Amino acid sequence: MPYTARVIDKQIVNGLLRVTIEYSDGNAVLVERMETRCAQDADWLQKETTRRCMEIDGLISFSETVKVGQIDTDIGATNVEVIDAGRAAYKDDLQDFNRYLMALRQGIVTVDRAEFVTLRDKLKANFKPEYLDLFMGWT
Amino acid sequence: MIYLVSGLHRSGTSMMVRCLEAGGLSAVYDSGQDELNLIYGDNQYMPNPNGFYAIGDDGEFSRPDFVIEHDGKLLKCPYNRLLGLPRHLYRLIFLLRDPQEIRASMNRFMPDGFGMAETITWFYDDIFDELLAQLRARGDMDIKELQYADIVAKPLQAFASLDWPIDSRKSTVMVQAELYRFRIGTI
Repeated sequence: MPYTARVIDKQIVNGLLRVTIEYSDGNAVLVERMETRCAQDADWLQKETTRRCMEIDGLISFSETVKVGQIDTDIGATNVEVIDAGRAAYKDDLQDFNRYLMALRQGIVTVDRAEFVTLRDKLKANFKPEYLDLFMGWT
Repeated sequence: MIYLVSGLHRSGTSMMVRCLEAGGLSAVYDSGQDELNLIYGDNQYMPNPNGFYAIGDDGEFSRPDFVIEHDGKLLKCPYNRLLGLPRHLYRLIFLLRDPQEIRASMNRFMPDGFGMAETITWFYDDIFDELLAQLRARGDMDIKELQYADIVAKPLQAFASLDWPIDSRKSTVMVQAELYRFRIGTI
């Protein structure tokens, strides 16, 4: 059963709201404490506990990505830069595609226009799971 | 347990909620979207003659007490709100439809464009394969994928396959094949 969270205590201590959260999957129980430190929004508790539940749920599979032993620190920064550039390029192509769709709707281009077909095929070929949010209207 | 119906626009989601409600589930919806029929309908065409069976989406699907208020109920959830649902136990019917049919329906409904939902129709399989994979990875959703065309063609078989607490025969009689418009071959 996925982890759920519930507030079991709250106190204002030294100008901070201290909230005690119990996380449980029906068997294991974790108790953690959260405190406000920078004028959180009203939904900070719900967002943070939801994130934490998903994190705890994923710990077993995530731990399998951690190898005991020496860590290779030479490639980390370069990899991050490549991923961001790829996502930015995909987002730009998607915006171009949406402009083509507008032109298609207005009858300015047809669906067999070479540039439209090429762009559609490129977006299809380069789609990655981490780009899903670009289609969900969240970004 | 919360029962959900979702899918891209123009995929039979309203029909499905109507059918499941007739089959005995308690559905939650309001009339907020019904004005779309007035705005975009005409003498020849009405987008959703039976209504949209939706609720307002102003943070509704991510608010903390969503699961408390709607436990045991049936709701239509926008496809782009599914991943943000609070942790709970869900049973989800995800409606699928030929993207060409969806585009034709969108173009008739809103000739000025359907936004990113229309864009998705061009990458339909990739987007929804990934979305459904991420939903399954949550671990709290039992997901059933149904093709809109199959439901209209063999409704009793479709509803019986769900193993949901419904009377499949009562759900079946609500399916109106004449409302399956923009079929491949007629577009």
